[in-house]
Amino acid sequence: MKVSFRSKEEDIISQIRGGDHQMMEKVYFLYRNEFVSWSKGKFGISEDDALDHYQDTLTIFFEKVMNGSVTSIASSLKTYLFGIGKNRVLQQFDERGRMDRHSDGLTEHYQFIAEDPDASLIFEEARKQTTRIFSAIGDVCKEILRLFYFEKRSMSEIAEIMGHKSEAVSRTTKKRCLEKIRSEVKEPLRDG
Amino acid sequence: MDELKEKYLQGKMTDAEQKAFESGLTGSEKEKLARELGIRAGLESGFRNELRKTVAGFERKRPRVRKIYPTYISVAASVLLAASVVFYFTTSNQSLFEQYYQPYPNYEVTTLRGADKTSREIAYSAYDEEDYIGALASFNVLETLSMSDYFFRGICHIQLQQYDQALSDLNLVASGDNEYSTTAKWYAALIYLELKNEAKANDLLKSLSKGESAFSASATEVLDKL
Repeated sequence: MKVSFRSKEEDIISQIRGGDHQMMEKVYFLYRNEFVSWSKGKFGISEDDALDHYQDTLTIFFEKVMNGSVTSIASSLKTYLFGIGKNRVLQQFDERGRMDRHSDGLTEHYQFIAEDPDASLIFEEARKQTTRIFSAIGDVCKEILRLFYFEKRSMSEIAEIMGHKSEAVSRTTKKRCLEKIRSEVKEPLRDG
Repeated sequence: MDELKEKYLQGKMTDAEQKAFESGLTGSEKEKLARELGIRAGLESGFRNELRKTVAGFERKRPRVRKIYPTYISVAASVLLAASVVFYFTTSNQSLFEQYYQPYPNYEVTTLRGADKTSREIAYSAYDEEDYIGALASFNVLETLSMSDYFFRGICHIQLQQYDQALSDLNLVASGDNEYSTTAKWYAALIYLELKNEAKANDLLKSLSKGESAFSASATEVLDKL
């Protein structure tokens, strides 16, 4: 017998947007078992794969909430999550496999990267090198870059979250952090 | 130019603005932008991986599920096992209870701080905060209790070492066909271990070990230890 009430979706979203890990954990367990059973039965996949897809699904959902691209859900949270999850499972059978769709999205938006071989090489090399040095980025830099690039926060929000005296301080800090990464990302070697 | 470039990199231009901006770019400017976009894509990828690790980390907080280890029990071991059951129930039941018992996490009701709450939400909120006396008080004023309420009230009783009341709630849940019935059996078995009620603990553990629940491996393990 289920308890018939839950936190409203918008409350859940606002708490996740605010970085509440406890709420993220609760959402994770809310549909975990149901999703795993459902996807095993519907798609004939293993328990490990089902769990993997569920974790991918929740990562996508949390990211969308954190970067502000999801602020409300027209359907129920369960319908929404199972919708994402279904697409993730179907991608398993897609010949493109489980590529990083976000990078695909970026090159779709900036078509010159896909069209210009030199630009494509430079983009790919910079992406790889940044991913490689990611763990060495200091905590303060990581936090400010996360707020700006991943959560798409405004400078005034960042200043408030980071406890900076002004937006200018946040802007300077972000610039300095990005400069450090730029200095460590080398140009790729090219023919000729 | 820097402002335009930033607007472009953040993907905030309209299609027309983007087209106009790109058409004015030289080869080297495109390469600079490609590098900048690559760095941003790498950062996003790093943050996404961190988030994915956080999500995967939640899995480790699930109630303990133990692997079934292949066991070989010889005749001699069986004799030894029988002897140790007698020994166990006079000496070390409590340590097994302590070893295996942990309060069940509340995934039933999500509660919010500061929001207007019903008695049921207050009960679960108190449970989340490990205020088992408060949770019990709120469960007890509910007009009707669902099976999940009985289950979590049972766990509150265990926390307060009120084992008879805990068994009353958990056996009620275990007797039905609901999502907590198997879990309730596990907790009832642990209480019987604590109360040194060999027969009832064994019955429940054997029943759990034969099933395919999350507790079957743990039940088998406890039976092995007995």
